[in-house]
Amino acid sequence: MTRRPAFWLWAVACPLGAWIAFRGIGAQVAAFPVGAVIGGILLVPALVLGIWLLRRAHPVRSHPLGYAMMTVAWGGLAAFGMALPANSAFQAVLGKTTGPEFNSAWGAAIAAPVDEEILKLLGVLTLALMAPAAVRGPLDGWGYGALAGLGFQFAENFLYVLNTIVLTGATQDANAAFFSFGSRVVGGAWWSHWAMTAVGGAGLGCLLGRTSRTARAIAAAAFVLAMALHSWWDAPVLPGVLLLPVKGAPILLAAIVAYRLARRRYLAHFRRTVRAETAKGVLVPGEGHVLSFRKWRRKERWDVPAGEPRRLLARMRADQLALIEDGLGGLEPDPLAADRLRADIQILRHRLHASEGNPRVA
Amino acid sequence: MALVLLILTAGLPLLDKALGSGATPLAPGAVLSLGTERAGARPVTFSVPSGGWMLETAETSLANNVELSKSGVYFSVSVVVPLAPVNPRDLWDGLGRIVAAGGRSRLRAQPVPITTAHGLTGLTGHLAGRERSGMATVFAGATLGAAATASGRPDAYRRLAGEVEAMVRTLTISAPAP
Repeated sequence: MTRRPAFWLWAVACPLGAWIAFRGIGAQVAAFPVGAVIGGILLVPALVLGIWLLRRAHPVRSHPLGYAMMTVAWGGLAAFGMALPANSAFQAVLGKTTGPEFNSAWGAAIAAPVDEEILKLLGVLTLALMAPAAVRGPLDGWGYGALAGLGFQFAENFLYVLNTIVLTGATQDANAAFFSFGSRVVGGAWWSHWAMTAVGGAGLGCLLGRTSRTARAIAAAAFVLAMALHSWWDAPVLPGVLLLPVKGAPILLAAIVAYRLARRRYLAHFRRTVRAETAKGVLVPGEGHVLSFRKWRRKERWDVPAGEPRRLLARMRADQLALIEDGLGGLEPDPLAADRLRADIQILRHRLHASEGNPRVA
Repeated sequence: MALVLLILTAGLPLLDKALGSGATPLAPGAVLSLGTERAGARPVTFSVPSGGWMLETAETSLANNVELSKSGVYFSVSVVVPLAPVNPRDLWDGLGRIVAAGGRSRLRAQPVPITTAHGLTGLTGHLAGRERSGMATVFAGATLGAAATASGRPDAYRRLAGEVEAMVRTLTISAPAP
């Protein structure tokens, strides 16, 4: 991975974004330590929970933690940090060209979707260029898009803790932190950045999985939809706290629909490949069912003696899942990968049967 | 990809710079209002009695703050939305921390009471920084507050101190409808 330019772009962009963000809000953190600490204490567990949930959204296996964290870091550091000067400049341009009244009403709805959706989505693209096997289709794009959006969302939530302290005149720092957390996380996390970027990510994943005219059209449409949803959220329509769920519902709904479509496509490919590989003898009958569920894969491990047999079983299952997902496509498809994986699976199965206890699997 | 990042993080700021300050001249007597718009009105208003002041459109967000400038003196009014009723002294202490976080100046000495032409009472005091001088004022309404600051080079601020105080004394806060 470190030989790829995308990795170095990631490695430079994340600290650069963190530095820009620190320059922008570092003085406020120092000035309002109580609010900042309470904000951090509230936000970090919520972020961890969000990462866990979004990784688990994959129906068969969780997205690798390393890739997930890299994408969250992109969203929370690179995208968030770079969005600060970009948004500020874009809104200043709008203010100068359209006037303060228009800018006050529509500035955020125009500038933020463009800057932020591009920056967040670049996290998915960077990951795909760093690790081509990580993004093989719309479901991966959805997952990593949601994770990049989640990273951005929580960095922005922290900024809003500080903004709320300033807006309340720095008179009640702790209450401002609790209020900001309640409104933006408890009340507003359901239809925020993760959902918008998940929609754009699903489209990008479609394109990264297999380049075609249709995939390009889907990617473009999903990206425009993500920006439109973001714009809708920032637009001065349906104001008031009570209407926020009504305003957020289309965003959440779009993310759920995108997820269901991506999941259905993934599972259809999964079942098709399992049938084909079972017919070829690479998988034994019933093995596809075990592979489909995390719970079954976890349970079968307990029937296998600990040590080498359990390790062999884990490797075989990983290879089988990799074989199934190999057919999904990706940026750098390897035409020899499937045969190599099939051979590995046969060897691993043989070694597993010959190992201590001759465990019965699948 | 790096090009896209460059366009967003460097291209947009350059475009902003190329457009100049974007300051708009205000006519004497112009009335400005800020805060969240409800039923076509914003809750905090003030007027600009004298000429020569410019509205800094790039630094202004009518939902939160308005910034004006004249001869190197910057005058800013912000809306304060407290979570519970506050008094001017709380707002003054809070403004002191907000100004200090800006890193350029600090509130000095004890504030003194001020009353606007509309009977709004608050606290006002001096603000100073490195080669900067100015004033700060806070007002606490029933559900909203306002903070005004002005600063610039000491000689420039001295010349415009009267105009700044005149603007501050026109400030009104109307309680938003529930």
